[in-house]
Amino acid sequence: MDNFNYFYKYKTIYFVFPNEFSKLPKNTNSIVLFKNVDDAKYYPKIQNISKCAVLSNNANDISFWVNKKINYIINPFDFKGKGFDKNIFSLLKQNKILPVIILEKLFVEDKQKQIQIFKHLIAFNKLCKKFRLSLVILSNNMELTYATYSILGYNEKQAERFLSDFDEE
Amino acid sequence: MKNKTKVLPKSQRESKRYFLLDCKDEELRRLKDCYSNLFGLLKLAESNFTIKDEKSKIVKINREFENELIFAINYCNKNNNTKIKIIKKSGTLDSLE
Repeated sequence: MDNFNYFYKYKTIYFVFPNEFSKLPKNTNSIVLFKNVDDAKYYPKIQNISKCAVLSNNANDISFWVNKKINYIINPFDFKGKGFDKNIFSLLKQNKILPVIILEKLFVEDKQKQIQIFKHLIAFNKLCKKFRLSLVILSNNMELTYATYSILGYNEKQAERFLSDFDEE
Repeated sequence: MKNKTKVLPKSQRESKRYFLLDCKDEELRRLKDCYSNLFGLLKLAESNFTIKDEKSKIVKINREFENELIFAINYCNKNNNTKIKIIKKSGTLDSLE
């Protein structure tokens, strides 16, 4: 049993919050998730030893973190209806930050919220295409991953390329 | 890619996909509702989504819509607390039964 809490596990990669990071065994493949501006206090210690990502649906927190040296932006969906602005997308491109969708976390029980999330996913995907950003879709069910890629208008080859962008990093 | 359409035998080139599911009787109807909520009634009609009969738990759908079905199953499981699982899928009904 793992004696630390994690947000998500994909293959051998643990997605953890900064307060759990110190509990990980050495050489664990990890991605540390920063949620808000306050988490910046953890950043200096972590930035050189683990991959970093922002996990937030708050526009201010997202714009704060995409200006840092981070690797990924994860499930960036704002439930309040405020869409993603194009400046953030330019920054993602410029700072080589990959957008990552964790499918298991994309399905929520609240139906209203769910509809909003799907709307934002579709809008987000359109911007990814426009800015030619690889959209990484992760799930521990590969069939679901490929189904989602297909629904979003990508073929199998593109999907494999996007996933290898994530694996190779 | 391994699945080039032109090299598939005729039986597999059929445009229908049959899914054998593991679920409760009433969950099939919920799945259909989820599918139409997600993708709209027009796509539901276009996809030819059909519940063969509730006892056998077989769903038929046009082949180009199978990804939508897979997505709808996962969505349905979260939103309706169903536990629908795909046991087997095939291009022909015979090979499922």
